[in-house]
Amino acid sequence: MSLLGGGSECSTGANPLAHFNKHAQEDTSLQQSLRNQPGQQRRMMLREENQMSMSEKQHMESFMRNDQTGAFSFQPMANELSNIHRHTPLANQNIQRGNQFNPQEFQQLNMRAESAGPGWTSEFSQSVSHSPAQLPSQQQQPSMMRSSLNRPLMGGMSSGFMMGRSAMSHAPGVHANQADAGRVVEVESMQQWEDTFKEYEAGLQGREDEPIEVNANIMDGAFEQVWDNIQETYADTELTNDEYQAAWEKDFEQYAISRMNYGKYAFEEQNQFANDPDAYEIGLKLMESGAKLSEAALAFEAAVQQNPDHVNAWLKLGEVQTQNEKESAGISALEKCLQLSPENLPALMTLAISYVNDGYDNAAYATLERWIQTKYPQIAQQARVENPDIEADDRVALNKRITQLFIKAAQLSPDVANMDPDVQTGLGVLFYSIEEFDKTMDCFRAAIGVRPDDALSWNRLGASLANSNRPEEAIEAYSRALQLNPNFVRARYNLGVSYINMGMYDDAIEHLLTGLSMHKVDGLEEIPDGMVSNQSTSLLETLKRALLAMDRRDLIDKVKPGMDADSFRKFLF
Amino acid sequence: MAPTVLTASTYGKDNVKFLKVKKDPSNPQKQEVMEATVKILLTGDFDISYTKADNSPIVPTDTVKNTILVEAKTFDIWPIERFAAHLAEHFIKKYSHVSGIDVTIHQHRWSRITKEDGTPYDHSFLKDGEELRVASLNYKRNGDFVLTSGLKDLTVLKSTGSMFYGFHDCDYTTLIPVTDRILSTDVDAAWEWDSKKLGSIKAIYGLAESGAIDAAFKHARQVTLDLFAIENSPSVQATMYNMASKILSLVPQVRTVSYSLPNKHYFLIDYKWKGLKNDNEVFYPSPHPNGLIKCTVARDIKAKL
Repeated sequence: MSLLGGGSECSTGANPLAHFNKHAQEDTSLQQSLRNQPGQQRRMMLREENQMSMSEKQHMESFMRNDQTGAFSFQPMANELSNIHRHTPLANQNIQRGNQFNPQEFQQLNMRAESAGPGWTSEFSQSVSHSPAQLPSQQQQPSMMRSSLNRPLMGGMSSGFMMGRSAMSHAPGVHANQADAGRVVEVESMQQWEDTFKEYEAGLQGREDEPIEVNANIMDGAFEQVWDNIQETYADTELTNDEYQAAWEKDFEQYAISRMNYGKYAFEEQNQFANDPDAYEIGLKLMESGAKLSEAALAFEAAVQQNPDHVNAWLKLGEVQTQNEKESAGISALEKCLQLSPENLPALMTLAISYVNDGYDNAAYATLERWIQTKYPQIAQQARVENPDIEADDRVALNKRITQLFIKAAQLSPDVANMDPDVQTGLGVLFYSIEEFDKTMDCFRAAIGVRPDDALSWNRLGASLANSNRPEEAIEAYSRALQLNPNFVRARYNLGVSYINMGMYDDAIEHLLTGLSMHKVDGLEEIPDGMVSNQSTSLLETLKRALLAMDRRDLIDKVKPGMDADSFRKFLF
Repeated sequence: MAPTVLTASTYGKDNVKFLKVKKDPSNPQKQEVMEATVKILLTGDFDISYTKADNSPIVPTDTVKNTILVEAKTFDIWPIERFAAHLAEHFIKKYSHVSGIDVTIHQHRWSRITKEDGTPYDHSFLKDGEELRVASLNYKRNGDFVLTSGLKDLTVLKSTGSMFYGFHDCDYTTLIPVTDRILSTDVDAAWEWDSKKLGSIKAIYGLAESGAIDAAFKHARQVTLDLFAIENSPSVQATMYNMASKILSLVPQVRTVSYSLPNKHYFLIDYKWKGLKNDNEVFYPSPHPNGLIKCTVARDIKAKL
């Protein structure tokens, strides 16, 4: 699911919306005029807005209509944008405050402009006096920005564009930049500028929702609902990163308290790796070599018991146990990992998914917000400014809000090469939790596109197929996951579930028993009553369900923690 | 006499009633009340009191009553689930020969009186119905526990929007199918918390603190009333299933939801003798017999992401 965006600046360090702001701060009309005839200057500026070609527009619309077309490339647009970047020198990119109007930048632009030839200045003082919308104070600029941002389209870009225009009114001669200082633009084109600008100013002053006719032609409405929210975010107020962090913590705490169980991780009492100082490395090797997940889990348990602050060991333990279909244990471990290292991205994502599995949707959304705030801080910060409180009870509104953050992140890298599969995964999980399974599958497929050998992604695709009532296709996806990792107990559990849904109870039970047998580790002595610390209640309960469905209630009592899968088979087959 | 053996026993105190007042520390005139009825039953090594008339292990039921009253004073008893957990832990901790305890608390309805514009009075309440809020907790020394919250005797009636037809027919059946009837019941709903998800009995305090227990009660009550009112009910069975499913979707920590609904019949009065047609206008409220329908609903197995 690629959405528009573009540019190659997707690194977490830089502001992902940087290119929008660049557009704003640098008036590129001169560069354009270098490349084009002066008369086309205005049209050139406009054409930057109209970069989405018809074919791309179609792709967009088809996505919005939930077509199954594959990811569509924004390469042409990305190319155009990078062209712009090459031509514009980097200005002060203070995006920390979002696209807030930066008075200092204006000073810079002003100064640069002053250095240009006097011809410029006179032209512009003329235009300034023409324009009815003299905004003498800088205080009004933000509001102008805000109204300009009501453009629902490629919000950032058009807003940037508008900023460029407003720059013109307040900074006489701002058209110049360092490289082109002194270049004189034909009077004719300037006149066009003035006219257009006057139109714009007139329109702006009265109504906030005035559609800006000049650039109106892009993606009309396609992103309306996504971007509408963004408009409000360019507010005067801002939260520092710390305040945001604190606010998030408070909300997360709220959700955390209500799920008491996941507090402490329950360790196995018998652990062959208990005294092994290389337990962590052994655990990693076990995972690579295709050993049982339960064995790897023991190794990681030993590692954290020896060193309770070992962040990666907790992370691996959490990942392994969730794949091992021991959700509660996995969640305990992941929460512990996050206590030690609150910005651990894989832990956050895995934990959010586990919350969704267990029905704690609000906690999942809070965790996903934490993820995106960590990896794409600017996006999350803006949205937080807009909406400081997570509405604890309004699950749907919360979901929508976080989804929009993820969509923004996805738009940063629309082409497959740069796509962030974790953003796609997060987006898929968000759609899954509100049962929009078609969109879910698009997202998971996109993630698979980037990581075709990731068994976890295949399993997720399968789960969404299963929950949208396509068990046969789900089984294919699970099988693929198991090909990639035969020890993936969760995928096997899911197979069992799908077979039950199709009424094929024998097959279901076979897979569930195999899954259970994968929890038995050589070296763990037989414990009376089968008291193993972490049980997969889901495997056991689902096995009972299958037995119920095939009318073998007599066997239900035999399903209990520590049961032996092999001897159980004898009762049935 | 033939030899006999005691196979099961339990004892304790029932109908311990009290009303607790909670004063707002910033304004002591602003008060909250809880009127509750508590029942506690103990199990453990008490056999010899039955078989050998040896009273030494018996913790007197009077002591049980004293305990309830003392703990009610010294402990924060809102919500009643929290109080139940506290009592359970107390008995298990204090008496080593007690191996299990059953605590049941019924909270009676006292709703704050409000002015016409809705502003509440500080310390005046109205008993708006015989509805009870219920908590029952079974706790064993080995840590196993089952907490169930619920409500009962919530009496509701709808004058239309209820049907019953398409039922099984046989030579004993005289009931006439209808598409428009009165539906009235005393709702008895209960939701069992998922002990595995909660982990230990101590989790109940966290659940109470975070407001999850009260929220679950609010959801359950509102869902019941909403679906009762909204659905054009094809049967009591169908409507209660929908209610239970909705509650499960709203509270992830709950494992199952159960309903027990009497169908309190209202029969059309016959005016044929006067030549009048009764167009679902005047009914006879029949006190007995009543239909009784029960069900328990749990979550279905689901694929895991």
